[in-house]
Amino acid sequence: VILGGGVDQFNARTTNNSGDTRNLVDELIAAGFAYTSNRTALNALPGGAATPDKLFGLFRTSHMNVAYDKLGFTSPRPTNQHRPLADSTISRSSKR
Amino acid sequence: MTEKAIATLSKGGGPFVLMVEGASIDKQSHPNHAAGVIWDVIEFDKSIAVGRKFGASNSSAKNGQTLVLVTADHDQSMSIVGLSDVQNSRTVLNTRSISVYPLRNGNVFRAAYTNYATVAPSNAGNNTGEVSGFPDYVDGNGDGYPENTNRFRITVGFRTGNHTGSSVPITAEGPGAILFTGYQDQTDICWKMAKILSSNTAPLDELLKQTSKFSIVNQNY
Repeated sequence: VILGGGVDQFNARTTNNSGDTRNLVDELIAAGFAYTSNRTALNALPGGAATPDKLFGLFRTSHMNVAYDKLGFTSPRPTNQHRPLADSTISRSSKR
Repeated sequence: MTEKAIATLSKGGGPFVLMVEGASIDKQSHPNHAAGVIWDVIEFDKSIAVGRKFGASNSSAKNGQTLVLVTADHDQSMSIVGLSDVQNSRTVLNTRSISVYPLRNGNVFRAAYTNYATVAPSNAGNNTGEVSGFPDYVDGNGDGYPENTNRFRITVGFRTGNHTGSSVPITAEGPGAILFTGYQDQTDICWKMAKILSSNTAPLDELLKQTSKFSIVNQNY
């Protein structure tokens, strides 16, 4: 099982960066891995006896989204009433 | 992702090793983004729950045969240094129970994560820190993440925005877990895992069972 980000390292390889121009996504699929590239496809994978034997999913070209962004939070804004000592306190009233 | 990974690896009932990394905790620590760090810790916590659920699952043929280890590869310079009071933002309160927190609406103190039943104040008007269940955030909308709109909020301090050499915790649950008790070299973890995989852990697990019978009474200090 391989799940995460960094698809660029698999299918956008350059001689300069990776030393070769192989397409590892295609190679892994050819090697019998089930491939998913988004949450919907991952969740739609069959279960039980039809569960894939080998699974890899790459969901971002680089890093995965951090939770704070994924959940749609915005950075705290200081007010007169609440002046953070630094950009330091959790401050959030509602989820977008 | 953790669920799907376990479903794939556990298919057929063979042994497996799965490594799940809460990679963005570190990523949010480097810019000293406190809220982001904490939210990604919660994300990681959810993944741990999935692993523990598999380990404890009664329907699993591997019940009692799953070792769940949780640790970190390093610390970051940011740490929680106290609480800030939104009504007096120039103060940083001690998180220890010596500090006195005023009562609000009679039921301000609640446990995190769940829609926990209201904790009845034992000493109205003089609830003290962690003894009364502080922090007081709640998950009102049931999305699994606490809202924090209350008077007291976490205050953090940081220095470098970089890794430190501080010790990190490790927790263990399952066969051979007792081997991970106490202070140890990080590089020993893989050898201990190898030992557990290649030996009968029943005597170790019995030892842990016996030790856990010793409990500290009235641990309230």
